[in-house]
Amino acid sequence: MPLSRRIQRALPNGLSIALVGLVMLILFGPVILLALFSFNDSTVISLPWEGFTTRWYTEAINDDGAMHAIWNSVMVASVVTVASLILGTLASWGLTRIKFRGRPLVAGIHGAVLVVPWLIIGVAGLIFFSQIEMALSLNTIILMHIVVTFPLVVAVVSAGLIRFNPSLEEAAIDMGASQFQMMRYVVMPQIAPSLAAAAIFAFAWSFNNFEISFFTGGFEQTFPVWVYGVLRHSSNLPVVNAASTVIAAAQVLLVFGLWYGMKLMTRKRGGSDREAAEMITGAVR
Amino acid sequence: MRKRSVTALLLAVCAVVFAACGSSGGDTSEATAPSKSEASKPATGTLRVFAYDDTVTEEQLKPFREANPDVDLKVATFNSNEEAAAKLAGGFEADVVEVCLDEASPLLERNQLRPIDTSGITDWDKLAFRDQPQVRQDGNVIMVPLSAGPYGIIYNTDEVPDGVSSYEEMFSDKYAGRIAVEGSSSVAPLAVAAFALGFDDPFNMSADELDQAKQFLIDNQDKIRSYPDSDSDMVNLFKTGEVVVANGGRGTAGDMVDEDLPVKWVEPKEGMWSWVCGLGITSKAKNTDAAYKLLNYYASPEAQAISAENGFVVTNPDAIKLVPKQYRESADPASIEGAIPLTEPEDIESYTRAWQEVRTG
Amino acid sequence: MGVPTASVPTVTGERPSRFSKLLKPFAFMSLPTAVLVLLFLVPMGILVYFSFQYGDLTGQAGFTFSNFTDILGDELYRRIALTTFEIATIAMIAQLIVGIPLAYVLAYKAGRFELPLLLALVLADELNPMVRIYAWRMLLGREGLINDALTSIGLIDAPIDALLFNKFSVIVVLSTSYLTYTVIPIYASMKAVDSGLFEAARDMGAGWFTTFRRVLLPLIAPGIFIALLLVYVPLFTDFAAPTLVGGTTGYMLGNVVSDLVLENGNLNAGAAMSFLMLLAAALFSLVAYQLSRVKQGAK
Repeated sequence: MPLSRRIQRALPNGLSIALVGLVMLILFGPVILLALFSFNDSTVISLPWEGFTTRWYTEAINDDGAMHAIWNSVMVASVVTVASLILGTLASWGLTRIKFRGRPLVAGIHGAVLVVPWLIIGVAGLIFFSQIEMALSLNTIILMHIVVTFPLVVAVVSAGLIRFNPSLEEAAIDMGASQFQMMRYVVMPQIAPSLAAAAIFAFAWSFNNFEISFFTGGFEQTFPVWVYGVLRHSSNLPVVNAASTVIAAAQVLLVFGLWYGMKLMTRKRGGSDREAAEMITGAVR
Repeated sequence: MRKRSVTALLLAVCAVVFAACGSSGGDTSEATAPSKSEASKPATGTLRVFAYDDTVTEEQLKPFREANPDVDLKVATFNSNEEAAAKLAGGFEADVVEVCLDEASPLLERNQLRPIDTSGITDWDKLAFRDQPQVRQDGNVIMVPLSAGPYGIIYNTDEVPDGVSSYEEMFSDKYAGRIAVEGSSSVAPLAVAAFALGFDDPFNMSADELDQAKQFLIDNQDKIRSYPDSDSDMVNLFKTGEVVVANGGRGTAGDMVDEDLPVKWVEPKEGMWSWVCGLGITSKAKNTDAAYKLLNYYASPEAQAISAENGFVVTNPDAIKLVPKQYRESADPASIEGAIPLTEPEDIESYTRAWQEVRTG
Repeated sequence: MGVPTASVPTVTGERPSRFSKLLKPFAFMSLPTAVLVLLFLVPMGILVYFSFQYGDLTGQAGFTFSNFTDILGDELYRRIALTTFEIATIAMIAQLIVGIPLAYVLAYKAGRFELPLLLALVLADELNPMVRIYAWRMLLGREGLINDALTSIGLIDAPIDALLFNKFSVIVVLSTSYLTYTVIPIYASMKAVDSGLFEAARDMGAGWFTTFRRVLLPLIAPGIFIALLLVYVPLFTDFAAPTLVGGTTGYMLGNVVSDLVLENGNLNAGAAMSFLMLLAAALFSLVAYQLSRVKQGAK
C-alpha cells in the first residue's frame, strides 16, 4: 500500500478517536460530575467539594415516596416500551412496504405527534379523560405515553426499513420462504439495531416524561413528577441526584452487562460478534 | 384505511366529546360541617388531597393517619401553582386542595371551591390571616389559612458587609452582574420593580405603572445574572458565588444558613410581602366529613408545630409553645404583622405580557 | 410532513388479490391508526376547537379568529419567534456538524466499539434533565471548572461571565441534550449504506468532500430528515433550558406556550399558539421531506 494511502486511512482513524472522545467527554462529563457530587456532603450540587458522604443514598432508599415513584416509572416505561414496539413495528412496515390509499395522510399524523409540545398533549389528554370520565391513574399515563412514543419507534424503524432493499424480501418469498420466515430471517436481522435503539428511546422518553405524566396522572406518581414536587425544597436536590445516579448506573450495568454476557455465550457457541450484538440489541430492556 | 372513513370517525367522536363539554361545574353549595358528635369519630372512606409536597410530608400526615386508621388517604403533589390550577381546571378531582392566596383565582373563577362552614373548624377564631379579603369569595370562606412566609431581600454578608436595606439599593451598580430576581412567575419580578420605584400597590399596578416597572427591569437587565425559578435554583446561585443579592423568601434564606452560607435576610424598607397558604374543600368533594377532619387537624397546634419546622409562619398562635426553640421566632405570626399578602393581580394577563417583554429585552 | 414513505415496489406475495390489497394495510395499520385517532386526534381536536373559541375551559363562549390574529399581529411574538429560530437553528447546525461525522464513525469506523458507543450515546440521555442542568453550571459558572482551569493556567485573569446565563449556554445545553436524537437516525440510515461505495468513489479519485456530498449525503438524507423532525422541531418548544441557564435572555416560544396555558390559564391562546407551531412544523417537514427526496433522486 502506498504511503499516502496509508496516511489517508490512518488519519481518519485519529480524527475518529478524537471526535468520539470529545463527544463522550461533553455528554458524559456532566453525568460523571453529578455522580461524583452525589457523594458530596452538601445540600447544594456545586463546587467546592465539602467532604464525602453516603447520606443522600441512605435518605433516598428510606424515602418511600421516591422508591414508590421509581417503581411506578419502571412499570409504566416497561409497558409503554413493549406496546410502542409492537405498534411502531406494525406501522413502519405498513408505511414503508404497503401501498394504500391515504398513506401520506396516515404517515403525516404519525409525524404530527412528534412535533406537538408535550405540555399541550398533556393538557389535551387531561381534558379528554375528564370528558370521557376515565379516572386518572397510571393507566391514563401509559395510554398517553404510548401515543407519543410509538411514532418515535415508527420514525426510527422506518429509517432502517426504507434503506433496506425489498427485493431481498421478494427473493426470499420466491425461494419458497413463508411470510413468517421471511420476516424472521430476512427482515428482523436488518431492523434489529433500529428496534433496539427504538426500545431504549421509548423507555427513556416514557421514564423521563414530566409534562404528560403530571397532567394525565392521578394519585400515583411517576419519578419525574415526584422530583418536580420535592424540588421546591433545595435540600431534596441531592436526594434526587443520588436516586438519579442509581437509576443511571442500573441502566448502564443492565445494558452493558447483558451485552457482555450474551457476547460470551455466543462466542462459546461459535457465533460471530456481530450476530451477538444484534441479538443483544434486540433483547435490551 | 380509507381517508374518508377516518375523517368520519374523527368527526363522530369529536361530536360526542363536545356534547359532553357543555355539562360541567360541580356542587358549590356549602358543605355542612359534621356535627359535634360526628366530628369526634375517626374519618372513614377515601380522602383525596392535592397539595405542595411539603404540606403533605409523611411526618406531617402521620398523626392524622394514626387518629383515623380507617381513612384511605390519597395524596398528589404539585410544584407550581399554575400547573395545579391547570390540572384542576382540566378535570382532575380531589376533595381537599391547597389554596394559596396568590393562586386562588383560577379556582375561584371556575367555582372549584365550596364554602367552608367555619363553625366546623374548632380553632377558626384564633387563626391569623382569617380576615384577609382573599380568604372569602362572595362573603363565603373558601380556605382555611394555615401557613405563611415573608419575602424580602437576601444578601451575602461576606460580599456585602454593609448590607442591603431596600429594593432600590438592591439594583445599585455596586452589585452589577451579581443580582438575582426571583422569576418563577411574572408577578414577583414586576412587584420587586414596583417596590423599587415606590408604587403603592405592586400587585395591582395601573397600566402606566406596569409599563414603568417593565422598563425598570429591562434597563437593569445587564446587572441581573439570572431569574431563578425555584428555591433550589436560588440557593445554588448564592452557593456558587454567581449572585450576592436577590429578592427571596425568608425560608429560602434559612435553607442557605443551614448550608453554612454567609447570608442574611432583611425586610426591605419599601415593605415586605408574604405568601399565605391553606386548605380548601373542592366543589366536587365526595368526602366532606373527612375533609373537615383533615382541615381541623392541620389547624391544630400539634400539626402547626410540625409545619413550623419547615421555617413557615404558623397561623394558630397556640402552636408557638409546641414549636422547637430554633423555629419559634420564625414561626410567630406576629413576625410578619403588616406584611402585604401576595395575591394574584386582577389583570394577570398584562403582567404576563409585561414579563414576556422583559424576557425578550 | 411525516415519516418518509418509500417509493419502492411493495412485497405482496405471489398474486396480489383484491382481497389482500385491502386486508394487508388493514392488518398492519388498523391498530396504530386507531390509537392515534382516539388518543391523539380526538384530544387535539378538542384543543383545535378551543383555539377558535373565546372564554375559558368551562365556559366556551363562541367562535372567534382572534386567538390567531392576536398572535400573528403581535410584534412581541414575532421577536420571540426570531430569537427561538436563531437559537434552535444554531443548536441544530452545531449538532449536525458533530452528529454526521460521529454517526459515520459509529457506522463504519468503530468496529467492535460500535455497539458499546451506541449504547453509551443513548444512555447519556437518561439522567433527570433538571439535575443535569446543575452539572452545566458547575462547568460553566463564574467559579466553575472551566473558569478555574483557565485562571489557574494563567490564560485569563478574571473569570469569564459570558460562559453562563446567555444564549451561548442555552445553545450548549440544548445541543448536548438532543445530540443523541440527531445521531441515531443518521447512524441508522448509514448502516444501510454499503461502505464499499465509498471505497469505490475514492478509487475513482473522488475527494472526501465529493464523496460526502455526492455519495453519502443523498443516501443519508432520510436519516437527516428524521433527525430534523425529532430534534429541530422540539427545539422550538423547549422551555427548561432557557429558564435554567438562559439568564435574562433566551426566552423562547416554548416559554410562551407554557406561560399562556399555565400562568394565564388561557388555554384558547395556548392552543392557537401550538396550532400555529404545528402548522409551521408541518410546512417545514414537508419542505425538508421534499428536499430529502430530491437528494435521493440526485444520485
